[in-house]
Amino acid sequence: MKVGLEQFRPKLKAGRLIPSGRVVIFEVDQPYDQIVLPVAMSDFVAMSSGEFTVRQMIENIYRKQGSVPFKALLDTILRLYHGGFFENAHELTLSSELQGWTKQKKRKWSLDWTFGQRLVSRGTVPGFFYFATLGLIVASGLGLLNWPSSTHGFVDEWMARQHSLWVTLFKIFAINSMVLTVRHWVSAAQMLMLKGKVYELSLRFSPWGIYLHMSDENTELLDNRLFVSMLHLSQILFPWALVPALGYLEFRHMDTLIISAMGLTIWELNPLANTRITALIRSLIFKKNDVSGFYDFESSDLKKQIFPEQARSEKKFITYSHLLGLGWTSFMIFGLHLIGQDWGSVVLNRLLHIQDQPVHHSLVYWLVALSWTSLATLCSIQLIRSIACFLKPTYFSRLRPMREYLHKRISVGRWTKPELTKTLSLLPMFSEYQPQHLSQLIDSSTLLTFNKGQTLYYYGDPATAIQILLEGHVSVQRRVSPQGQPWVTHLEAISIFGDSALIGDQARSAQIEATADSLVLSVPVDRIEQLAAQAGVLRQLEVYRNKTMVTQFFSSSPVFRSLSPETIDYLAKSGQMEFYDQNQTVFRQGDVGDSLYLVLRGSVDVLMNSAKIRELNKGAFFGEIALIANIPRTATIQAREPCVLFRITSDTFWGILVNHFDLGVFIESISVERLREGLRAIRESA
Amino acid sequence: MFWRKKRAEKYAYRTTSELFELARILGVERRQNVRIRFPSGKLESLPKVIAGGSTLFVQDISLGGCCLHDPLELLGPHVGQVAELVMAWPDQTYRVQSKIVARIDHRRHIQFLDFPTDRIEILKKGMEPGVRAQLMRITSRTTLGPKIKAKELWTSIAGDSLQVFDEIHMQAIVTAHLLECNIMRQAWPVRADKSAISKEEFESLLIFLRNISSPTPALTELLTQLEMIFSERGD
Repeated sequence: MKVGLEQFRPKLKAGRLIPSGRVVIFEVDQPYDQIVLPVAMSDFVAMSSGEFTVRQMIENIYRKQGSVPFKALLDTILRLYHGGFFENAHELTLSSELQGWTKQKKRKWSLDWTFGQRLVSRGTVPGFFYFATLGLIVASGLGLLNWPSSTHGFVDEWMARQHSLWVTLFKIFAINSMVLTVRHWVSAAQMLMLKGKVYELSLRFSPWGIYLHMSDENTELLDNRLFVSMLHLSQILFPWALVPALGYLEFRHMDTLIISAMGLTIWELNPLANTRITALIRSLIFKKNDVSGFYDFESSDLKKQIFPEQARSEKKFITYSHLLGLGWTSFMIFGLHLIGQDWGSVVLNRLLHIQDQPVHHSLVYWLVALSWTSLATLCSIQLIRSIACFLKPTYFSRLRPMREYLHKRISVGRWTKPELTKTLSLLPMFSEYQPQHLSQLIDSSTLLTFNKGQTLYYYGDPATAIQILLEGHVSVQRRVSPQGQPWVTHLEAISIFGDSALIGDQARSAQIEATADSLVLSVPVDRIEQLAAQAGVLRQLEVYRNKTMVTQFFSSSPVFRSLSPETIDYLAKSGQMEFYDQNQTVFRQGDVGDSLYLVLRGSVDVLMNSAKIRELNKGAFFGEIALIANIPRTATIQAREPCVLFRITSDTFWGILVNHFDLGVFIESISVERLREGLRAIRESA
Repeated sequence: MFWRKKRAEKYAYRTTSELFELARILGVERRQNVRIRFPSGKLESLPKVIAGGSTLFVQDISLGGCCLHDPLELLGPHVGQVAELVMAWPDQTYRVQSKIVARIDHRRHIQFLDFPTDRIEILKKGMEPGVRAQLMRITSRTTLGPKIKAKELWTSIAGDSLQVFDEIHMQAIVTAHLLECNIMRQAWPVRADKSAISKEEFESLLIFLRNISSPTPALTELLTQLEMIFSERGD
C-alpha cells in the first residue's frame, strides 16, 4: 500500500550505525553500502525500524529535543530513499516537489556506472600506508624531473610527430584512461590500508577518459590530518610516478604520457578550480587544526545536502580561492623578477619561443600563463553574462540600468478611459464590477505620474486610496521594527499596492518609491465601497479584504516571507479567519491544542498562571508547537482588543508538509526567529 | 562592520550569547538566566566564591545568581539579607553585593546585585560548555532498528556528540564545538592525534559532562573518573 511521507513507516535494511564525531555512518550488511549523515539524525535512523510513522518520529524528536531540524531530516529521508537503504521504500509516495528537494542543477560531464559494492581488507595497515605513500611521493618527485626543460619546444616536437588529429586524440584519451584508472586503484588501495574498506567504486565515462573511479566520500572516513594530506599529495603527483616506471618498461608513447601528466598536474594546480590542492591550501590558510575542518572546505555534494550552512560557507571560500588566484599571479610576477626577467610581453614572448630554458624558468612561465589564462576566462564569462543581460534584460538583474531604460518612456496618452476600464476588469478585485461601475470609479480616481526616485508615500501617511501601477515599477519597503532593516519588494505593472487602505488601516505601513518613471491610478477606498454596494459585490469585496489581510500578513512577516508563493497561497486558502472580542479567550493554559494562530489585526495578551507575561501585536503568531505535537498549551491567550486571528490546524500543516516541505523548514526557522527576537530585545535593552 | 553583522546573522547559535538564548528558547532552562551545574575540582574558567574568608561550594551558577552550600551560615540566616561575596578568577578578584532570595537546608539561593559587567562575557564563556551540554539527548534504541556501534550515543541539535563505549581501553569520544577528544580509561583525555588536551580544555570537558541532563550510570562513572584524574594531575 502506497502512503504519503507523514504516514510512511521507514524501515531500514539490517545494518549498524557508526558514530564518528559530527557525523554518523549507517552501514548496511547486504548489499554492502554506507551513507554518511549528520549526527543529529541518529535518532531518526535508530527509530527507523518500521514501528513508527515519520509523523510520530518527528513528534518524538520534538518532545525530546524541543526542535526538529526539518531540512536535514528531509534530506536524510530522501538520501536514504534514493540510496536504496529502506526495506519498504516501495510503500512511500513522494510528490514531485519533495523529489526535487535535493536535486541540484549541476553540469555533469561524466556518466558513472556504480558497482554498488565495497572492497574490504582484512585489517588496516597505517604504517604500511605511510611508507608506501611516502615512496609514491618520492617516485613522483623523481618523475617530475622528466618535465621537459623546454616545454613549448617539447609540445611542438610532439605535435610535429603526430600524423592524424583523431589518432592523437585517441592516444591521449587512452593514456588518460590508463593513468586515471591506475590512480584511482592506488587511491582505493591506500584507503584499504587506512580504513580497511572502500565504498562506491564506479566506472566513469567522461570526455577525457574511461576509468575506474572511487567516490571522494570515502575520504570522509579518514580522521588523521597527516594521512589526508599525504593521500592527496600522492594523488595529485601520481601521474609523474608512472613516468619513470613506464620509461623503465620502454613504453612506446612516453611523450604522450608526459603530455597527459603535465595536463593533469596543471589542472590540479589551477588555483581557480576547486581541486584537492586548493582545498588543502584553503584549510592551511584558515589554520583548521582538525581533519573535519579540512573537509569543511572540500567540495562535496554530500556536504551540500546535509550541511547546507557549510555549503554556503564553501561558496565563500571559492571566492577566496579566486583571490588566491590573484595572489598567485602576483607571486609569479615576483618569481619572474627573482629569476631576472621582466614580465608582460616578455613572458608571452618567452612562452612562444622557449628554447633551452632551465626547468624552473619554464615552469614559472607556464604557471604565469596558467594564472593569466584563468583570469582571462573569468573575465570572458563576465563579458558573456553582460551580453546576455543586454539581450535579455528581463531575465538578468545585472544590467538594471538597461532594464530601466527600456521601461523609461511612459505614455499617459495611451491610458484612455476604455483602456483603463479594460485593465481594471482584468484585476481580481474588480472582476465582478459592471463596466458602468468601473467607469464611475475611474471618474473618481486620479492618474499620477512619478519620476524615478520619487517617493509615492511614506510610512504613516494617511491611507485613503489604493494604487494601481499601470506603467513603470516601484519598490515597496516594509519595516518590521523601527530600527530594523526594511524588507524590499519590487512591483511591476500591472499590480495593486496600498491595499491596506481597504482593510481599515489608518496609516501606511510601507514606503513606496518609484524605481523607474511610473504611472499610477489612485482609487479612493470610500468610492470602492460605495460602488461595491451599488454593484452588489460587497461579499466579494469582503473576501478580497480578508485575502488582502492574510497576504499582507505573510508579506510583512520576516519569517513567513521565506515560504514559497505556492505554500503561502495554500496556507491562505487552508486556514480560517476567527474574530475575537475584547477580553475573549482564544485558548487556556493546559488545553490540548492543534493550531497555529496568526494575529492579523488587534493584539492579544499572553498569560501564564493568570499573570500577564507578554503582549502580541499585529504580525505576531503563537501556538506553533501544537502543529508538531499535541501538547498542552503553555499559556492562556486573551484578546486585548477586538482582533482578527488566522488559524492553521495541524492537519492542514501535515497536509501541506507532504507537498511543501518548506513549511517544515519554516517551523524550524521559527525557533531561529524567536532567537533573533530575543537577541534584539537584549540589544535594545542594553 | 558590515561583514561581521552578516556573519552573526548567518551563523545563528554560534556565539555564546546566542547559544544561551537557544537553550532558553528550547526550554532546557526556563529561567531568565540559563544556569549550569559546577563540576568538582579547582576550576579556573569559573569563579571561586568566597564568603567570610571561606570558599563555599557552588552547586550551580548563572549570570543572575548562584546556589551556594553554606552550612556555617557565613552569609547569614535570613532570606532577603544582602551579603558581600568575593568572586575570584585567577587574574582578578571582585566584591559582589548579593541577596539571599531563598534557603533550603544549608543551600542558599543568591541573586547578584552588582555583578561586574566586564566579567559577564568571561563568565558566559566559562559556562558555554555547560549550556551546550544541556542540549544533549541520548539516542533512542529500538530492538528492530539498526544497532548502534557504541554503548551510548548522545547528540544535540547543535551538532555535538558523545559516544560512550564498553571497551577495555576506550571509554568515550566527545565532539563538542571546539572540543574533540578521546577518553581512555584512567588517562588524561587526548585529541585524535594522541596529543593531550590542555588543562582549560579538560575543564571545559568536565563542565560539559557535568551538565548533561539525566545522566546514565555509565556517564556518571565517566565523570567521576575524570574529576578524579583532574584533581590528581590537574596541577
